[in-house]
Amino acid sequence: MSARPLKALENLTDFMRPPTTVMDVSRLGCLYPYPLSFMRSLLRRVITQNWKITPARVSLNDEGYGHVVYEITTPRSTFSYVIFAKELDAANRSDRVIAEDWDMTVTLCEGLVDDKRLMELQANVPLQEKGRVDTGCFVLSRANKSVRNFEAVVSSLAAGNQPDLDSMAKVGYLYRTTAVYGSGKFGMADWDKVKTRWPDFGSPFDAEMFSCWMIRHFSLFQADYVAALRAPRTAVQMDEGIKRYVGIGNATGLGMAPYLINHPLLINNWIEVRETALARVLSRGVPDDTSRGHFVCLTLKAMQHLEEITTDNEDQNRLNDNARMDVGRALTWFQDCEVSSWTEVTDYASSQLGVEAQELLNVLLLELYPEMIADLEDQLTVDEVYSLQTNMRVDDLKTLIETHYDWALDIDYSDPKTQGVFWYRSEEKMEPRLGKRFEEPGASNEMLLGIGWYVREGYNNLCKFIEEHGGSSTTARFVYEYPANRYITRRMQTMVKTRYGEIRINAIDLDVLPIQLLRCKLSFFGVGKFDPRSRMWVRNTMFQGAPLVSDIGSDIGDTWCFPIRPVAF
Amino acid sequence: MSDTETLNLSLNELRALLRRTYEALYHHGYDFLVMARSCLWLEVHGLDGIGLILRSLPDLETPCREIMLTEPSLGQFILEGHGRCLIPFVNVSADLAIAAAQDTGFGQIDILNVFGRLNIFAALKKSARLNLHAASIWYDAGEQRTHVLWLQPSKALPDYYILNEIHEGPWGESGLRFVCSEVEKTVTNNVRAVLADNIVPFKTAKDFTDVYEHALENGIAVNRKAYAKLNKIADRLLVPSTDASRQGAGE
Repeated sequence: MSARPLKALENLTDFMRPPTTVMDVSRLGCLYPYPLSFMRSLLRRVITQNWKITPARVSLNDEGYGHVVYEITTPRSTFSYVIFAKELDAANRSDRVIAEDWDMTVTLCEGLVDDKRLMELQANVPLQEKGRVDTGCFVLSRANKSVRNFEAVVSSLAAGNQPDLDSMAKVGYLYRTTAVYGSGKFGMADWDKVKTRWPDFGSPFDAEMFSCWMIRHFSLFQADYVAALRAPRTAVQMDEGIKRYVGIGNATGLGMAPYLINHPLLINNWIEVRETALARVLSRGVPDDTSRGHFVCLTLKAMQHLEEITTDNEDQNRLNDNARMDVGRALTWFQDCEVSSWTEVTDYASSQLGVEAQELLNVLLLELYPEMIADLEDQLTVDEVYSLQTNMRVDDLKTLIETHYDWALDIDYSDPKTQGVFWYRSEEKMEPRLGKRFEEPGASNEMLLGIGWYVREGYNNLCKFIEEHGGSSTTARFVYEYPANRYITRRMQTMVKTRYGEIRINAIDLDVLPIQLLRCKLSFFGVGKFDPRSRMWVRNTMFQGAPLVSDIGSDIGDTWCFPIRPVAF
Repeated sequence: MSDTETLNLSLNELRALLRRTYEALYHHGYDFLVMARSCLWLEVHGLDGIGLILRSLPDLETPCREIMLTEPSLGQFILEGHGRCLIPFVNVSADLAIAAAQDTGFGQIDILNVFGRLNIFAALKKSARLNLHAASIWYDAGEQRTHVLWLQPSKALPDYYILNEIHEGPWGESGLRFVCSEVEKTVTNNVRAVLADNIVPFKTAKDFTDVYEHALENGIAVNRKAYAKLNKIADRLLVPSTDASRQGAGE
């Protein structure tokens, strides 16, 4: 096991929130993007390191269909981003992972792309899961048009007008990504290779985020391109201020949820970095006129951002409204009193406001001191090793479970509701799905995601073992007798050494809300504007407000959190 | 690159396939994640982990667990495997010796009447992570050869020796001995009982590292038939798609 993540990142104990608060899944389902979210970190690096992104090959017809190869030069290496765009039959356009055709397919690969390489990629990238790429590629992705919005934007531009801001505010993107693959899928380079060979993409999900940013870039380019060819005399290019407001849509489903449960060390690390950042701000940040003024401005911006979000999901609308009103109350309180410590704000929020607003205010505080937390972004990776401590006494193991996994032992599994669903892989592209345990077939093929249940099973067997063999036996003896409990045992032994441990969720409860897990992970990505379509999948917008490729080399700041509608011109 | 005979997989892709394969074979009856990792290690270190699984399939498909453990003296175990494949219980067996080594300085397990003995490889890698010295010795009656995996001090991987001679020992014709210790000499003495000074390893720790690096850089060429066989097993986990199940994806 890598030593560092098992220790506190630094001694900020008095300011760190406890696991009981932080790891509650209903709170994790309220997280907002923050300055160390992956897409924020990535774009800071792209901008400050002055990456060069140039179209090396553009072969598109009048409708913008064909291929484009971008050449990307970083301080260390050269990469290519290859896009295939096609006309898609509307009947085949689906955001589901089980779709088989898309408006746009892409890959990110090392080096330059010659004709031979382009042909290889052209034969495979558009096929996505059914194709094969090689270890020179490290992202494979696809996106679908928001047809109505794309056409409206092109029509406006062709007519010499800028896009209608009301429509842009409502939809916010021209394309939606529907899957972004990395980490060795379909023959691509393994993560271990990416992080060592190509350190420009060596932080978690760098390459995947970069790909989404480039899809956004191409979507804007394509709209300008088609408009210019459709009406050469009248067409105008989209205003850059509006372009920044255009993000890239994303649809995220159940597939993302198992990742959080299957990588507890990594997730603990992400959470610990985030909480350490907050603790630093609370312990070192001293409110003064400048920071107080900045806080007020950021709060107003966040409130406007929330007000501008429109979804068809009434629950989400209510959450947004409540958060906005809560934050408004906090702002009134803040302006009436001159706080001398930022902990006064978090204390106020904890005692007076809902969880959404608490987490929103935490992010606003983090936005105040980017320089105070910037170094933490280098600590987001961790080697995940869950090693069995074979010689631990079983008495100690029992105590450890009772102390650190009390949340799991507290679940009453005799109540059928607490194991009302099971997770499984469908024969359709191995898509993860939820089934009702007592109504649908397939529970015998259940995925290992009900961690609490396995804790309980392991604990019961451990108690039985101790009765038979005594408490001084080793863990090795226990798992020899109960090999089915070896995995959960080494997982527990590993996680108890971390500061935050496991996400506290009963993932097999009948009422489980996978979107809480999705939103948690998406917030670390930097995704905002959540639009839940059910409890199992969510639409959202990435990179809205973010710098453009054309902003590289400018002095544009990292100020694009909580994007708001641009002022009409 | 892939060709008609082989398919180039990334390590992660093969790991995922092996996990699903073992999960399909055992569900949660064993630590299928670590079983997959052990097999992956063999494969990426050039030791034909996939072949070992496929050759063991008839045994792996037989669920009954007939092994029997005794501990004739403290920290020294004997496990009777009754002719079964080592894969399902290699980790829990090695755990016993490792725990003894951590507790008392020395641990040993003789695993008798098993096949697929190269699966002990992962236990030596684990020993290295715990700063233990370790070795495993067995002889193959069919091949008339003796095999030694020996983890040298400060190495992450063992050297692998194959001797064209028979060294009989408590491991019998189809068993193995795994020893680990906090003391280098204890392990060296066990190894030197069968291995002369001048023997050149069949594969050194560096060879293994080089093969791994190559696999990480270029992927692993997996025979397409073997790939299909593994997928056929792994696909047992898939649940047929129905209208109800599509609702379970959020439709």
